[in-house]
Order: sequence, then C-alpha cells, then structure tokens
Amino acid sequence: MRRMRMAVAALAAAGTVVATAACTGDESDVDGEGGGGDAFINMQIGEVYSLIPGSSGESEGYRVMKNVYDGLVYYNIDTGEPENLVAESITSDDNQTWTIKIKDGLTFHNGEPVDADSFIRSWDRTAYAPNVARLNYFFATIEGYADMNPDPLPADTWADPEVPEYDTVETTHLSGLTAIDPLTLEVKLTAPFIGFPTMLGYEAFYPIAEECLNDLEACEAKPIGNGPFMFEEPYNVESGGTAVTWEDYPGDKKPSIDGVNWKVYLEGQDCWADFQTGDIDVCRPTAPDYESAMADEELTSRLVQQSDPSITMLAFPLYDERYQNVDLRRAISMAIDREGVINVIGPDRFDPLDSWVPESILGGGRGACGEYCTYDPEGAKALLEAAGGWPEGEKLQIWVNDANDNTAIFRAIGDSIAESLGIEYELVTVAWPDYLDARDGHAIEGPFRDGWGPDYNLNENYLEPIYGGGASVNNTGFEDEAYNAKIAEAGAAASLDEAIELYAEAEALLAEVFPSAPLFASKINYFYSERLDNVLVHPIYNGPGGDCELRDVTIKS
Amino acid sequence: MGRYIIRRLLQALLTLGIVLFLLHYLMALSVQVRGNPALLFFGGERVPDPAMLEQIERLYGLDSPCYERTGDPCLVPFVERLQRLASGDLGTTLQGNRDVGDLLAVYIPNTLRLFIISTITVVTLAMLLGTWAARRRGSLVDHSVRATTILVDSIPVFLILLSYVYIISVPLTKWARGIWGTDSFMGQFFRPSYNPDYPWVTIIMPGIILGTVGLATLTRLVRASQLENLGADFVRTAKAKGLKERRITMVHVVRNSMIPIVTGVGYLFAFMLSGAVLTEGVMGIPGMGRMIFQAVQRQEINLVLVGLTVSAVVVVVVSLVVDLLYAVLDPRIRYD
Amino acid sequence: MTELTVPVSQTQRQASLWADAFHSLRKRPDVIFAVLVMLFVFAMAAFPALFTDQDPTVCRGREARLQPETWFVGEHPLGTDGFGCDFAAAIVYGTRPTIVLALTVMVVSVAVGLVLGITAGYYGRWVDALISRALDVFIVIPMLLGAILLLSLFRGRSAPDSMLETIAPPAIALCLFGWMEFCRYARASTIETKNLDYVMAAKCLGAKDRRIMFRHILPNAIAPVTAVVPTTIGGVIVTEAALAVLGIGVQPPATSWGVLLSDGTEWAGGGYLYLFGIPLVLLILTVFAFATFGDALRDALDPKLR
Repeated sequence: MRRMRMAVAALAAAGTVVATAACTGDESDVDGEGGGGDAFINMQIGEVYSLIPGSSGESEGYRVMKNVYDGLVYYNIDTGEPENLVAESITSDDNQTWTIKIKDGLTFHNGEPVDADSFIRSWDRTAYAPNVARLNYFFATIEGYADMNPDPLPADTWADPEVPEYDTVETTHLSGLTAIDPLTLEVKLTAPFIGFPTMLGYEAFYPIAEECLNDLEACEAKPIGNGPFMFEEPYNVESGGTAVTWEDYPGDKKPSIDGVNWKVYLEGQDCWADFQTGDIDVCRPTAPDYESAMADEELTSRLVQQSDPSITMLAFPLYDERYQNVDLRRAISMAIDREGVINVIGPDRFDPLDSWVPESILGGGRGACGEYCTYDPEGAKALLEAAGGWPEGEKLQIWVNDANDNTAIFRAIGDSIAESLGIEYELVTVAWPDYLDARDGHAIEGPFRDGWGPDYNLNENYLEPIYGGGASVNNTGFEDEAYNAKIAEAGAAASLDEAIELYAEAEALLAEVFPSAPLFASKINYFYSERLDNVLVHPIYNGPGGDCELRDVTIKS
Repeated sequence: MGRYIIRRLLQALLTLGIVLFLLHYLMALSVQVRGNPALLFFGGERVPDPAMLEQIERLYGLDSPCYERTGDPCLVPFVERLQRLASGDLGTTLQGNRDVGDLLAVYIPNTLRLFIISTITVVTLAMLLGTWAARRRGSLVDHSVRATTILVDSIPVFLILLSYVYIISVPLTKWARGIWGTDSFMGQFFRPSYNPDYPWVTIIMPGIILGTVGLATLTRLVRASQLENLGADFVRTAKAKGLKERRITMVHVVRNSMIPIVTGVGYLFAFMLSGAVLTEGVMGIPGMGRMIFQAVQRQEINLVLVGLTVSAVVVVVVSLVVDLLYAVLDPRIRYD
Repeated sequence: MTELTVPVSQTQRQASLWADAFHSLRKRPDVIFAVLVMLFVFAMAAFPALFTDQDPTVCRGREARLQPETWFVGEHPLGTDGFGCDFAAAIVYGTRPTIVLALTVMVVSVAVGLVLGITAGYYGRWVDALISRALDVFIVIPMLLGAILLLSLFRGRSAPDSMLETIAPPAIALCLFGWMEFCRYARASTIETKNLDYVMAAKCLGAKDRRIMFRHILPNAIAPVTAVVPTTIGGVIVTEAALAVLGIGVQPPATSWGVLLSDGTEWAGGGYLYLFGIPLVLLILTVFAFATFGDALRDALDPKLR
C-alpha cells in the first residue's frame, strides 16, 4: 500500500533547522491559504494515482477517497475493527455466502441512490480484467472472477511466441454478486473466508455512481462520492485541490471542519519547512528534523506517536540450496542488532519486531520469533557453527531495492551481521523494476528486503498473501503443508475470534521454518499545528507524510 | 547571410533528428536490458495478471517484439512515435495515464519563469562585477571579484538551495509574515517551497539561487571583453575626441562587450537546465527538470523522450539564435 | 590566435609559452595556495593510511553519530558518521574514489576530445562534418542530464567488488558527456595551425599525417585544452556530489565525498552539523583550488590577456 515510499530522489532534509521557537501571539497569520475561511485544514499529500475506487491501491489516493466516499464499514479508530457505516448488517451462515443489507435513504453527492446496484457496478468494473484496475485482485475470492480474468491461450497458438494471447473477455458481471432487493446484496465467495467483512471498508469495495461510470475522466478529477467531503473544483495531481464538507451528508458524524486543502509534495520533497511556517497543519518530520523537534518542548505537546502496521523483513531465498538450513537462517536473524540499526536511521522511526504479524493488527504481536529475533552475537555464532559454518571466502549477499533509505537500513544490517558472525557481506542494490523481476523470478541469491503494509486489519493479511500460494508463487519459495492446512482451517472458522487464534497458530508454524526474519515495525510520528484539536491518526490507514482523521479533527476558534 | 541561415537551420534539424533517434535507441535498449516498464503500471507489489499486462503493453506501444531483442534499434516504433509527435499527439504517461501535452502546458511556463529570473540575475551580476573588475584591473577589487565568483561557483547550487530551504527561509518567512501578513508579497517571497497560487513570487528566490550557476564564467567573459575593448582603437579615438567617460563606457565598451555575453548566456543555458533538475526538485516547482528526473527514474519512456526532446529543441534553437545574434552584433563577422 | 607568426621554431615557441606561464604562476599567492590544497588532497587519495589509523569498514550501529568531542585526537578524531564508522577514516578513504573518478573522467575526456578534435580539424570535409555533428548532438544534452539519463536507465543491480567497479558507472556516464569542450578547442586550434608555414613546410617535405598531427599540431592544441583541465576536474567533483545526492552516483556502502555529503545533508538538521560541514568545506576548498588554478593557468597561457 505504501507505494509512494518507493520514492527515489533522496533530496532529503538538510541544514540546521532553527527550532520553531514559540510563535508568540500572532495567531492571525496562522490561517491557511487557497480555500477561504479559518475552518479549512491544510494537509500534505503525495502523488495521487487515481480517485476512482479500485484504481488507486496506494495510500494517497485512498486518503482522499476515504473522506469523499463512505464504504460499507469504517474501521474503529481505537481497535481498528470494522463497524458498519453504509451497511445495516453483514451476515453469513457459512462464511461463504454473505448477505449485506444497506441503510435506507443514502445518496451520492449528485443525488443518485446508494443501493446494491451501485456496489455491483463498482465491483464489476474493478474485477473486469480489460479495465486494468489496480485492485482487481481483491475480487479473486468472489465467484465468477475467473470468467472475467481468463488464463492465456495455449502457448502454441500465439502469433509471437513471446507474447501471450487471450480470449476476449465476454463476461462483464461477477456471477457471485446478486441484488436480492434494492438494498440487499448477496456475495458468494469461492471458499469460506471469515475475514470478508474486514475487507469491505477498503477503497476497492466503495460504490460508484452511474454518472461517474459514464464519464470516468471527469469523475477522476471530480469524484462523485457518498462521503462527508465533496469536490467543487477538480482535483489536480500536481497542485492538489480543495474538498468542502457536504452540507447534506446523511451520516451520523458530520465533520466539524469546513473543508480540506491538499497540497502536493512529490517524491523527495518534504513538508517540514512548510509546517514550520504554518502552511501545513500535519506533517511527519524526517529523522533529523524529528530530533530537533523533540528538543522543543512546546512542539512535543503536539505530537501524535503510535505504531503503524507496516513491517520490514529480511526474507530468505528458500529455493537457494545455500539457505536450506534453518539454523543458518536463525543465526543471521540473531546476528542483527535491531536497536543499533534503529539508532543508525533515527530514533522512534521503527520498533524492533519479534513476530511476523505486528502488534497493531488483530491477532498480532504474539512474539512468535522470540529468541531468534533478539540480538545475541554469541548465540548466533553457535547456531552458525551448528549449521556447518559459513563457507570460507564467500560474501553474504544482501539484496535490497534502492529506493528511499533502504540502502542505509540494510547497510546497517549488513554491518551488524558482519560484525557478529565475523563474515563479509556485500550489498546488492537493485532498481525497483529489476528487483521485482528478480524477486518474482526467484533469481535473488541471498537474503533480501521484504516489506508489507496491510490491506485490512486481520493477521491473516500478513500470513496468506505473503507465504501462501505455493513455493513457486510466493517471494521466499515457502511451502508447508501443516501451515496451509492451518490457514484453510482458520478461513472456515465459526467466529472471527476463533479464526484469529487459528491464524496465530499458523504464524507459530512459520517460526519453525523461518522463511524470513522479522526486523522492524514502523512507527508514526506526526506533528500538528497549534490551531488543531482532536487530531487522531488511523492505526492502519494513514498517509506516510502526515495524516489525520478529517472526520474527527477540529479547529480551535 | 541568407545562405548561412539556411545552412544553420538544416544543421539544427539534422542534429535534432539524430538526438531524437539516439534518445529513442537508449530507451529501447533500457527496456530490452531491464525488462518491461509496463509492470510499473501496477505499482509493483504483486504480479499482475498477464492479461492485464498485455493490455497495458498494447496501450503504450510496448508490445512490439523488437523490445525483446537486445540491440534492436526498434525502427518501427520510432517511426510511429515520430508520426504521432508530428500530428501533435504527445501520448500519455504510464502511471496515471495522463496526457503529456497537458503536463507540458503546466511545466514549461514554470521552468521558463525560473530561467527568466536566473538569466536576469546572472547577467546583471556578471555585468556589474565584470565591469567593476575591468575598470580596476589588477587592484584588490579585481582579485576579490574573481576569487568570490569562483568561490560561489565552487559551491554546488543544490547545497546553496538546501541550506536556504532549511536554514534561512523558515525564520525569514515567519519574520515577513509577522510584519506584512501571510498573503502579502513579502509573506510569500521567502517561502521554502513553491506555491502555485503565487507562481511568480515564490519562484524568485529559487531563480536567484539558480542564477549563481556559471557566475564566474560569465563575469570573466565580461571582464575580458571589456578589457579588450577598453584598449581598443575606437575607445582611444572616443577618448581623444573628448567624449565623457560615462558615454564611452555605455556606448562603446558595454555595447561591444555584449557579444561574448550573448554567447556566454547561450552556453550557460544548458547548465541551467541541469540546475533546474535539482532546483525544481528541492523547491517543489512542477517544471521540466523535475519531470524529466522523475520520468527517468520511473522508466516513463514517453515522458522522458518528450521532455528531452523539448529541452533539445530549446538548446538547439538557443544556440542558433546566439549564432545569428553574433552575426548581427558584430559587423566584422560576415558569412557567405 | 596569431596569424602572423615570426618564423620561430615550433619547439622553442612552445617552450617559452610554458616557461612564461610557469613564471607568472609561481609568483601568485592564490596559485600557491591552490597548489597546496591540491597536493594535500592528492596525498589523501594516494596514501590514506598516513592520515588515519582507523578501519573505515568497522561500523557499529549503536555508536552512530558520536559528536567529535575530542577534535583531531582520541579514538574518533572527527566523531563517527551516520553508520557508526569513524568519520575521519570515512572522509580520508572517500577521497580516493572521488579523485580517481575526477581524474579518469578528465583523462578520458581530454584524450577523446583531442583525438576527435585534431582529426576533424586536420582532415576537414566529411570527417569534420561527421565529428561536428556528433559534437552538436552531445552538446544538446547537458552533462548532468545525460548522466542522470544513463545512470537511471541502466541502473539494474549493482554490487561492486573493487573501487574501479564502484566508480565505473558514473565515470562512463560523465566521460560520454564530457569530451565536447576539449574537442572544440582542439579542433579550433588545429584549423588555425594547419595552414601555418611550418606545417605546410613539413607537409611538402613529405611528413606523414600522423607525424604532423602529433609533432606539430598537438603541441599547439594542448595549451588551450590544458587551461580547461583543472576547472573540469572541479566540475566533475561537483557533478559526482550532485549524482550522489540524487542517489544514482557512487553506491553505498562504497564511500565518496558525494556520498558523505548526501548522508550529511540529511543529518545536519538534527544537530550533527559536522557530518555535513566537514565534507562540504573539503569539497568547496578542493573545487575552489582547482578553479583558481585553472583560472590562473588560462590567463598565463593566453598571451592576449597578459
């Protein structure tokens, strides 16, 4: 989800930041610009990919859409659990056929009703392969997906042996979706999945108005949503835009602000200087700016600090014969001084991670990795001995994609492994597209960087997508029968609580095979301006550069 | 003169043609060596469905089999691209499917504004300093002007920029806003980042900083050519006629030293284009430099080609104009 | 330059030009200062062990960014860098890649520029037309832009083993876009020289083309080219830093001044000004020294300005 983080140009922060020494009494000049009135909040935003539900799939587009649209459910700000928003109820007897009842009387900004058809319309569009929507894969669990996303024709019928050919896709409707009555939607899945309702708050599952579908280009710039904010002027990917509060918003919780101005910061730019001059209301400082900000006591009273569910791992190429021994993999993990690495890249940006599912996710934080995720150079050496030692004269290759400060992080990890185990390492830095190629083609020849940001709040999302699908498909080449059986068992569990426990058991099975070493869980540090109050940051869905819940935030008069 | 102009025009066209082809070949090679950028369309975290990938490749003209053969110059796509360019269709971007023509309409004016301010800065400073140094040749002034300009030139422009953004601009902005208010000229002038609501005001500071690129070169040019002119016969004649010092400086010395300055500015132009990449990146100005850098990073083939083509056209035209101006300004130069 | 030359023998004329230049340079204090700085930097590049006894590859994350409290003495004379390596060692060992890169680019560019320039100027006609077009084509793409283009397009994977492999990608990219200036100067002075009496005479005596080019034309072309060399070295050092800040130059964990600077800019804000300041001063000083020396050399070699 954090695709924006594959930023390239590291024109990072510089210079001595003169601390924002108390801005004494000139409240008058703190007001924003661009959109009139004091009750507009100025937010930073990255590059938005798309504003049509199902087409964005990155954090920034979702940040706009989650305020312009109302989904079936919304995630509770404290627990992260889904709560009905547009949905009246979501029920199932067997976890496979789900019945969704929609609240009566809801409309889009343009007056169209929000009904079962508006959801079917949207989901069909995303699931239809020729539409190339980024979140297409979200619908793979729904019946009829295969008809809309066919496999290539047999290889010997292709005109060019390199270029796969396909039948034209005739099906334009997901057969698993039925509108039982205007406000009732029935969804048939291909297999039982208890977590289905947790997915429904995500962008892929928003409804689309008919007017929007008729003119996608116009809707891309000026979305027609059903949420509390609406655009009066088109949004511009370069310069941002302004959304105002929808006067007739039928929901229970109307925002207290009048609207929001989004100012765009592209890769390599950062909002901190503008935050200091009062032009931006919420901003995440870079690591050095964070250090100087923390020295300012007044500023620290306006800090939101909480854990973020994105995690970083050092994955092992299980398909490579050199990394077959589990003790070797554990030794490498134990040799990493996670605290030391965090010190290198800046305090409070990460927490050391000792499980495959982070604590902030339902069912996470069980410490499944335990002692193998604790820095212990002696223990690591002993384990390496037990695994038969490290081949003389060979360098440990650590592969990393060269975006952001990945190189810095993995250089520090390499330094740490080298010192603990007394071996040499080399950093193989690879450009993102080439990295993807190598990773998907199992051509990586050493431990490599792997990261994950959740699509929805359930520990399953850290287990099935990363380690499922079979050895040939997932990144590490992991496949374990007991594990797969456990995942299947959990999907068919009778209640969500039961499922979470079963998924946690599956996570414990991962520790036996050790396909990857958990490294860090991310942490959020957002500062907000003195005119804001009730600044809440969503634990799962938030923009990397600084974000808050626009439905909750208030502006001091 | 007419024949000279025609010859130069033809040469310029030929150069442009070769540049276009080389750029195209480079991009094709990169696709052949590194793999298909269409993958990027999907953001890259998951393997896209091959059917969808195929669709995207066709959409962006990446489906030609020549992209599979390393070393193939991909002439067919090249000709197709030229045809599309000639018909005014600049294509769309891979990420976001946005019309490149629309993007240029936003980017080019921003970069132009930046260049206008930088050029004014560098020419004004170089003329002042160069004239001053020439008039006091060999004195302390001469030496310190030379040392200072070289020193300023030695500091990479992006470091000046970063220092400005992170050290000076925030307190200055706060100070200015305390006196004149946020929406005033001064309240925006020192801003650490570009603001599209104030397209001129917020581009002045980055423009001035970018203007320090090549200051030493141009100052030296001004100084040298004025020295030459000060000692020239026509200046001595003017002095002998009893013309006022100021008139001699203005009419005879300064005007005649314009020739190398015109050349110098034309030459600096290419440097400024490089500087624009960094300046626009740091200050968040949506301009050509930033666009080209990001496009290259993302393997946005179409965007890179269009961006560099625009820059190549500009450089070629500027050097053509400089050559012609040269002929106009210096009556001694005759072409046949 | 001098259409009406007194028929002095070629070698004599050259010798006096260089001797005069040397004499005038020796007397200028700014040149002496520049030469001292250059010698210091070259010494660091050649014999890093003389300047530090620390191993730049020993880095402990927990010791990252220790301020240089003892200054020039103690275990970490200049503190530690962002990775917990000794900062003094990082700077000293980072000098070699920087300088080697700059010299490589310079040597290759000068060689290519001279060969192409003299060939074009000497043979004229279609050879000249061809080389002049190539010149035009490469001048259209500015050096930094060209380097960005090449380095990003063919980034792929990198895991350099030796220093040469480390600097190879930026060196190749910068060479490709660095030879034009030398070529232009060489071509211009070749055209000027080839019609001079003594060259004509040599031709009439049946000297081979190659001999004429090397013995008679090259010495003349060298002077204007030499004057640009120091400035070019400074320019390459700056460009390397820019590429490093953009993240496409020398790739970490290898170090160069540019890499140190780009790490330093990041941390300067948090109160670690020394991480930025020390490499910055070193870089500016070096570039300034090369530029000053080049400026003086240009004046010394250009008789018109004396």
